[in-house]
Amino acid sequence: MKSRFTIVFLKEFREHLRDKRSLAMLGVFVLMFPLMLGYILNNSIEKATKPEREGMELAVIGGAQAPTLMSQLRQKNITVVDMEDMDEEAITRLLRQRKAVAVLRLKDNYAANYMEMRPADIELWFDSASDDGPRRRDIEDVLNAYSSAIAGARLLAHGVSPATLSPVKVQRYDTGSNASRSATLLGAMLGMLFLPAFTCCMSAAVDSTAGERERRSLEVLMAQPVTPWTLVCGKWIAAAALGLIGLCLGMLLAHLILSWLPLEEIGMSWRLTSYDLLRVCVASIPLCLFGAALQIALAMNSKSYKEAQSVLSIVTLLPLAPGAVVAMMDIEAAWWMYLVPMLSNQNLMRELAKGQELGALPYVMTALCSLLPALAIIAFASWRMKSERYVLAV
Amino acid sequence: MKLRTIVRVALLAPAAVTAAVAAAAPGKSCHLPGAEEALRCVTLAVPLDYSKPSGSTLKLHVTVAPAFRESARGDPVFLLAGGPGQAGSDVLMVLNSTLRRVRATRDVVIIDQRGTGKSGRLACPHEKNEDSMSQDEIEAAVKRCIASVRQPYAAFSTANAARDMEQVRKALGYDSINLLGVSYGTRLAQHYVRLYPGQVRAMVLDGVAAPDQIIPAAGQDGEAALKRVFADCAADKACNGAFPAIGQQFDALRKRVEAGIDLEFPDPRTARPSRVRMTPDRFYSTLHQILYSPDDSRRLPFLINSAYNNRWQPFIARRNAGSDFSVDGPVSTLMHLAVVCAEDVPRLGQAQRSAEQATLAAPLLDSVLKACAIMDVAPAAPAPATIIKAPVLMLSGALDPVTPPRRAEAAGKFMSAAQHLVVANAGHGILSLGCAPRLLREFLDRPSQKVAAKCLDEIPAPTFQLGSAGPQP
Repeated sequence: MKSRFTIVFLKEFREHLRDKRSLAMLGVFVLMFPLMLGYILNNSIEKATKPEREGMELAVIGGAQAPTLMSQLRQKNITVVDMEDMDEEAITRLLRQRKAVAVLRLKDNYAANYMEMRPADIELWFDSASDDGPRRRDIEDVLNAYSSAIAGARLLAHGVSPATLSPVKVQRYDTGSNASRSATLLGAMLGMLFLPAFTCCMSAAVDSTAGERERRSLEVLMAQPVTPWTLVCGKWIAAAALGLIGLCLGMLLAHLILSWLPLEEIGMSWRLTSYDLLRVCVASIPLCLFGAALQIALAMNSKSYKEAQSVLSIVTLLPLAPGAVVAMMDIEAAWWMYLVPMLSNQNLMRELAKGQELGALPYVMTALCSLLPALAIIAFASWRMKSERYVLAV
Repeated sequence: MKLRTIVRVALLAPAAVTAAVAAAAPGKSCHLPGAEEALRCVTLAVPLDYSKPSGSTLKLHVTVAPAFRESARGDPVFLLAGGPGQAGSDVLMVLNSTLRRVRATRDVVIIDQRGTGKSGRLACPHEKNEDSMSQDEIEAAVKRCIASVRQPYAAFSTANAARDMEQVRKALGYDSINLLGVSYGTRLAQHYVRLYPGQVRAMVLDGVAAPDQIIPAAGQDGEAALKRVFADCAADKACNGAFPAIGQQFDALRKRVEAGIDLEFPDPRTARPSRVRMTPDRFYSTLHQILYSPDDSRRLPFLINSAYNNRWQPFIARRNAGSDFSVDGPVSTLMHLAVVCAEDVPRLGQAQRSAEQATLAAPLLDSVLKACAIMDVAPAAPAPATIIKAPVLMLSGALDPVTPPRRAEAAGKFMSAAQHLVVANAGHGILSLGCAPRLLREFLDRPSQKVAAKCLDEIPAPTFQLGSAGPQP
């Protein structure tokens, strides 16, 4: 014979699975973020591996005066388009239309000044509002290389060693590894993978408490020979199960996408194994319990279904706050982060992605920091359930 | 199979593989000049003399740049530097430029060949006034330096370097490897693949050394490259306008230098007053060096014209550029001599020797012969030129003064699956130019397929320098 708790849980869970809105939430949150991540990364990989970068057009005025510069630009896959002289308005219009990444204007006396060994003027026009920053830097790199090569040749022609131009030699050393760099880049995005713990169970939590009360079916439920504690626990676990399913599916999808993408082409790597991921998912079970508990308690406390919905949609975004603050203020990873739900999960995943060897403690702390508050909240919720005032909504 | 079992296998299999790979990551993390990021450094003790495996050992330094894809450790690229005498750890800057695409999926392994870099470098101490020493002083310094080394010079052969590579391959746990040889490194690569044909998956040779090539006898190719510069200048309207008689000027200058010219001028780097005797040795070795790169060689007419008009400062400044930028010089001199004296000089016939005497490499050959007489290393038996079956990609620059395309053609006669690309506007060393890094990756991914090399034709010819203003704008 099934226990009373199992009966309540199965009934609630079956109902959630019948509810189109719950399932839609689940599907959307499982698919949306991993696919978005994959799309963004795939785009930058494609950009990096394309032999000829499309659309890298540079409009040049008076380019015939500097054939060497033009061929050096072409060497860097920059398409040089010769233009008639234009005034400021025409250049602005051209850049607004995004026809060219930048406009290079060589003055009429460019070649004459060059041959006279006076600084020859080049104007670089660009629109900083467009998103062509990296491409513009490519152009500036070519200009700098061109300029310093000429400076070296001129010094040499004067019988002066070009070594004069480099009084100090700076060797940069980066101690970050490729994996840790990628983890930092991916880190902020990875946090989003834990959001389903809050979003996927939301509809279920509202429906099984505030919804049921409004439909007056809670009274019937309360008349059954079950304790409020069993009742709340059944609703709680059923909602949390949805959150966990969403979380695990999202993680799995993101893992598949990240492993499949040739991240190495942009100097990044995804080194988390499926086994690591499994451990993260297990350690995140309490987070799903916490999310569901919080939402059930809040929904029960609201006066109406509508109020519950609006309160919960705000609360759902709250767990993102610590992660965002840490990312924005660039706070270093520290042990106390494992005391904050969601932030601890995020941190755990990021450290694993960095290739850090973690002991058991972070997993335990991550689990406990969600589990303990979850139990407290559920205890509070079942105490509320005992009150007739709540059930009858008087 | 039940769904649950499938899921369990799918979850655990990659985990097991990754764990095994992580355990195999060799050496310790290290930072080396030329690379911003941390690399892996491995030190491996190899026998100094492979016929006495239990005798004294030599510590070989190996730099490993792990692939960006962590699980792709299958077939690495071994980069073999030039010289002989160039150290692998001195060319690490190519990791970020030329080899970036290759490194996406393959480890790059760079060995400091024995006698170079951090593998027991055999070099002469830096002489303070190197640029102005007389011929006798230089010879005395070389003699002192040769006598100062305790190890047997015969141990520093190409054959032993190839055996070292095999030791490294085994120590790092690779099954088959790809070779990327540059200049002299192409000779080492060919030697390795002939010793261990089963281990090489594919091979890229940039500036190919032919099996019959004698390194210090580079005069005729150098002479041809110089003539080519003069011919190109004559064909170029601007250059011909500025230096219409550059060929004759050069011949006249040559005669003057053969007689010896004493020069007094402020030192190009320190501006201190200095004097130097422009000897044929200095003159020709500078010319030969300039010809390596087309960018450089296009300023040759200007340098020669200035010197012809008794303004030697630009020429001297160019001559000193190498020692101005580096204190120790990139090449391990004694290791270079150890290889050349045992493997090249004994093969030099009388006919070729007299042919070389008429070229601009004659003083260089002369000084090598003198040094070899002091070094007195036993001639090494030439390696038999067996057929290489592994797929090979050969790259040559048409303007190369040391390994022009005819050398690759000669080497290609002993290869059964070779592609040879000739770049019209390139000199010695192609891989860093234009689309070559992309082609490198393309070839290594599919070595049996023909690479689409058309994009190499887009590498433009640099412009001639007409005056003090530098190259044309």
